[in-house]
Amino acid sequence: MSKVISQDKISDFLNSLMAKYTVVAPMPRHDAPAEFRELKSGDQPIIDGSSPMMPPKDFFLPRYEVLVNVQMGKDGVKLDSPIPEAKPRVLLGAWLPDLQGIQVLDRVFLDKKFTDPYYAARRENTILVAVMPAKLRWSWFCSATDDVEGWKNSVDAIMYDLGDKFYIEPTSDKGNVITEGSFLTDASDADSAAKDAIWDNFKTATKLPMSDERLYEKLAWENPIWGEIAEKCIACGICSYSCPSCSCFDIQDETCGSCVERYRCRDTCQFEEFTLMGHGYNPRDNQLPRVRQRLLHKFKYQHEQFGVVGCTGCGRCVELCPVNVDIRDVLMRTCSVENQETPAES
Amino acid sequence: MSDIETKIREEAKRALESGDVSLVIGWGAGSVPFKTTPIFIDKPEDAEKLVWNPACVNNLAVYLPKMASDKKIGIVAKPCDIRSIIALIQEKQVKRENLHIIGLGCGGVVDAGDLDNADFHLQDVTGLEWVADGLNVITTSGDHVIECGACLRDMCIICEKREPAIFDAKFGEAVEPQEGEVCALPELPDDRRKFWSEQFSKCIRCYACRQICPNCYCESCFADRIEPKWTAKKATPEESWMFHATRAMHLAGRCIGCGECERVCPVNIPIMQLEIEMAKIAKERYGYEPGDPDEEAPLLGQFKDADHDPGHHGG
Repeated sequence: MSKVISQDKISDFLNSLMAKYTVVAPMPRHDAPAEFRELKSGDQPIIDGSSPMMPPKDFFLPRYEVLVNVQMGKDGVKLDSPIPEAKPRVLLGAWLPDLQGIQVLDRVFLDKKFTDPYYAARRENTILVAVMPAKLRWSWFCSATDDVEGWKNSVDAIMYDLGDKFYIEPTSDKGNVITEGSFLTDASDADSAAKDAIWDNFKTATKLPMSDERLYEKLAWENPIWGEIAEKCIACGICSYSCPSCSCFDIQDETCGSCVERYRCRDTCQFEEFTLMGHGYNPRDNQLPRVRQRLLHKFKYQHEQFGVVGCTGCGRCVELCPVNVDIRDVLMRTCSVENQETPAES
Repeated sequence: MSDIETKIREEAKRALESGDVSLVIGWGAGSVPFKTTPIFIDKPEDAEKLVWNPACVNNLAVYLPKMASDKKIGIVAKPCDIRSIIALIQEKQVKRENLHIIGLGCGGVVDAGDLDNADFHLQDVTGLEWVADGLNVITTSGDHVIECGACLRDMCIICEKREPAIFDAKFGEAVEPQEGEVCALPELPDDRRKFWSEQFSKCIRCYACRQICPNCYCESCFADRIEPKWTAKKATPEESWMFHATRAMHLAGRCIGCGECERVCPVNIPIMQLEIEMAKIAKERYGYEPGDPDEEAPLLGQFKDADHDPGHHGG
């Protein structure tokens, strides 16, 4: 059932959650985007979504994680796979597009044929609570990528920032746990109306001036836009590493005397080494196929494969790209009304 | 449209029409009014797309080693960008005769994405312009003037070389430096170690600092090598420290101080503080400043009898 909590009760709210769960929320950093961390007593996270932040994917797919430890000793070789403990967690303060991004990660790592045990352990028992900030970021384009109404099912609860209070709307049974506590009160009709206004604004303001046709129907392998982007793209990893749904990784082995550490770390299709084969051949040997791969993967291949679009419109790549490659331009130019064939007159 | 912008367009158009160059690299309008984007003009009529405004941050010299290897091209460049070009010429990555440099006097540029503040929303911004007392942010809700010291990039605040050192055409005048606060390092070594340890722990290893740097042109970077592995790809504080420290050493006596690495860093690591320290040492010990057109070779590519030599002279 929906509840409201006033701003001055937020510390009670956090304390009661922390008594039962590990709570993960964006913590401010001096002169850098906020970063999701496990809260310690007394921490003051930014839970209203107002601050720029790196996506929460590190809490499911860490930047660096040991998969196997190998120890060589007198008794032979010992192998150990340190699967993380599946402790109950609540993730607070993440933007809705960030948590929709986790839907994409789920389809990669929780595939029925092969479930990634490291990811699964972190993902299980984590309650996802999205925040709808009062002020939308200028770079958001969520409604251009998908029908956001369905995204409510991707999270367990949504907190709407109504200024002096939050409106808490559970969207799953799991989400009900965050509406327990005497510091929460029942939502009034006015609160519900204010929440609906925020949602409606989110739905409409994050649209782009383009046709309703989805990009997966329009994006083509041959498109002059790939060359235009590739010409200026400097091949860094900002777009992928700041993306809430990019999941590509590298696996490397490191030796240290009598032990070996096999770890997984971030990697991106934008790097030359990503597709470099052991014998020296590189099927994507320049930036054009790399740029094309990232966007077709997000908007076409993942939709074909999983039924979800790999981009959720969080806008981080739009804000952070060093050379102002704006993914929204790709959408608008590819799906512009002028580009479409004029319907035959009936 | 500013007078200088018109002159840049005319010069680019002339150079393309006359066949002097086959391509001009410059800044074009960004996807939003507070950003610009690198553009590559190969038709005279497209010279109209070139812009010159406070958001022309990119150091376009980063594109030269590849684009000017086999043909003569034009480049629109600020004084710092020109020092990068000089460094590239000295290091034989580009030939002077392959370049037509459209140089600009400069007073600094702003990373407008950082301007998001309580006074206005970035989505309401319609333009940026310099006015007498600072940067005027034009928005749908009115004008907002920000003092230069509060909006210029750190490297622009401390920049001392605001006139193009070499050029084929030059427009605009240098603007006197402005007062402003820049990043300050802790004094004591232990505090500095702690400071950098915290900074490098933020690094996500996206390598944007390296990729945007005109002087980081190595075909194979030490950080990408697997055998031998100089630094691991995993983003741990130790490995990131290794990456940044090694990169700083590789740029010692070479970094011209455009500050692009710092601008693009998604987690705001003050990378230039490492380079500023290196530049200080190069100047104090060898009287060398990277990007100086009077030098024929890079610092590490030349030897003079008078060079500082701690080993030979006993310290």
